[in-house]
Amino acid sequence: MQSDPADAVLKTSGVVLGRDGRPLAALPDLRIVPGQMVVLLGASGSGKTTALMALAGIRAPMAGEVVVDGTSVWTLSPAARDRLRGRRIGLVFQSFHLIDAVSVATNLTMAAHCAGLPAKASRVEHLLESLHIAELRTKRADRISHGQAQRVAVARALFNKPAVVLADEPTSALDDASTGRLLALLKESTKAEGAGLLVATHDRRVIDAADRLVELRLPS
Amino acid sequence: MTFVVLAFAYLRRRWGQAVLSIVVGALGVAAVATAVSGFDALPRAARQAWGGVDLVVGPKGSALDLVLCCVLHLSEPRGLVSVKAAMEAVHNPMIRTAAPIALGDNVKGWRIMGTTPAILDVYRAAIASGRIWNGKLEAVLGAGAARDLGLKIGDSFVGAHGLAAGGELHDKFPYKVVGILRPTGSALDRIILTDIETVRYVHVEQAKAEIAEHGSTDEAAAARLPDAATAVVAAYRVPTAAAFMPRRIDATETLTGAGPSIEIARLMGYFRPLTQAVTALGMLLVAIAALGATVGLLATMNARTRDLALLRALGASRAKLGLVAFAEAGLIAMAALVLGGALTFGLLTLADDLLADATGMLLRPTFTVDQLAWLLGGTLFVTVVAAAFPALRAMHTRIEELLR
Ligand SMILES: Nc1ncnc2c1ncn2[C@@H]1O[C@H](COP(=O)(O)OP(=O)(O)O)[C@@H](O)[C@H]1O
Ligand SMILES: [Mg+2]
Repeated sequence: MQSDPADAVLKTSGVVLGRDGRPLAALPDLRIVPGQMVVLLGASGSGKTTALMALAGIRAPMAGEVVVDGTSVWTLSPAARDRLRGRRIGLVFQSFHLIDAVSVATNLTMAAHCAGLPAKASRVEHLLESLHIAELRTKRADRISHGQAQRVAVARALFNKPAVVLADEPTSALDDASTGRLLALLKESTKAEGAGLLVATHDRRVIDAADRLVELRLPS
Repeated sequence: MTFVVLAFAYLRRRWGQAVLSIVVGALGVAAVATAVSGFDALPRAARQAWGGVDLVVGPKGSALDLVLCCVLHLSEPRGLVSVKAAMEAVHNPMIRTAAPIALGDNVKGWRIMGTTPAILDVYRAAIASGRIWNGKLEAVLGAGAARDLGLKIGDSFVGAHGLAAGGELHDKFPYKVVGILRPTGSALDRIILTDIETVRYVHVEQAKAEIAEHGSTDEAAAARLPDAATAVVAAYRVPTAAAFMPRRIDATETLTGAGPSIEIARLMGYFRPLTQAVTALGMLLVAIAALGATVGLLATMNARTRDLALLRALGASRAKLGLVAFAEAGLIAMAALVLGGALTFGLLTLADDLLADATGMLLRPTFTVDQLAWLLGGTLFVTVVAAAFPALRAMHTRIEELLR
């Protein structure tokens, strides 16, 4: 199951998560390679979201190291960390968080713009086509269905060709059929883009799709 | 670019608020720009209108009245002077040239001015076609008067009594057009020139007829005054004469000396508080618009916490989030500036037309590079100030807001 660490797009060692100065959970060391899907399982309140924040360079862990695409996240300056997140990490949230005021295409190019990358129209076309939502390109984000919004959120996470996609509870509001479809979509599209995938969830329906399963431990 | 698209999309969602800021801001910009430009243009227009006249000598009375009547040709004369006395008063080495003028009649509202050929020298005017008068009832027309009346050399016309259109016609005394002046840009363009003796002749003859008909009249009384004229206009040889001549003439018992530049500057002095009030009102409007924009932006930044956090999650730096607020404020400011510019153009064009209709003066308002720089710089400054708080608010958005 362990892959060659040299290929890993996400590596952690000894990460301990905390809240308000108190240790909350320990994250088992991770090695995620391109095309691999790892599921971080844990009950509500166990610290999964806190863990994703540490991996994405949003909130520092109490201890340990996070390496994304060969760069140690928490040794960077805040600005460099923002840039790394924009360029190498794709985020998918439980409630997608599209920007309602603008079109689907602009929602995608926004990812490039925020990361300081050129927003290529061809990239928009390619992603929308491969996710079967090409017809939504000019639609405003608040005028599409829930299922379509999921796909746009995935496309946006992949837009800048990230090394790894981090998804927080993407299935918690979905029925079984939708859950299956979303997981397949996430898995296939990240694989096609050559990215690793980490899904944090308390949803046991996700387990079957995982290449590897990890659980948060109580801090020692 | 994407941020401008985003800012525009946000603005469309709260267009009522945005339009209010834009309209109030535009009104402010227009008030400031119109006041500033108009205040500059008015004396310029007057200077253009008074042409080469540096000094006007008339009967004792208001110097401003004298300028308005005999130089800008806007108001009615208030009395007569003796040509001999007035010409003597301007007989001075500091005076380059001088000419008496006698007003009293008009052709369809265009003033007939009896004078001497020296008037051309005072205004530095030249004949475009034809010749100067050399007998009674010959007329040389200012370029504008000729064009508007449609008169050509050899045509005839009759004067009417008074300086406004519609007076009693002196139809026994038809004038003949013998010359037309080159345009000067001054009030002279609107004048019909003739020999001063012609004006006297017409009035004496008219007076005789009136005395025969009704006994003595005002007209008859005026006509009896020997060598009477409305005023004498003169040009200085040296600019420093302005410091001496009007004062010296004022010191005489019967004459008033007025320099158009002094009198118009004095008149503009009365306008200055008004201009300042309009400018202040305009600035107040701009400030209100900016405050409205700030409050609106702050409110929407709060409502947009989620979107802003998302942009951070997508890798935007804090500074970049500030840009969203600046882009939005900038769009409002740009729209206000464009609308304000259009309003200013409309107002000034209207003022130009009204002034030209009422006085024949051409406002031709312009903006100097300095004024434009102040306008743009001021708008930029107000925009930055208006956007500063919302931008700070945006910059302090925490990504955690998304992950709760
Ligand atoms: N913003 C916060 N401030 C303080 N404590 C928080 C905050 N968010 C979550 N927590 C606490 O941190 C713990 C872990 O939360 P979280 O990482 O969101 O868990 P999970 O995502 O697994 O449900 C919980 O006990 C929760 O109460
Ligand atoms: Mg969570």
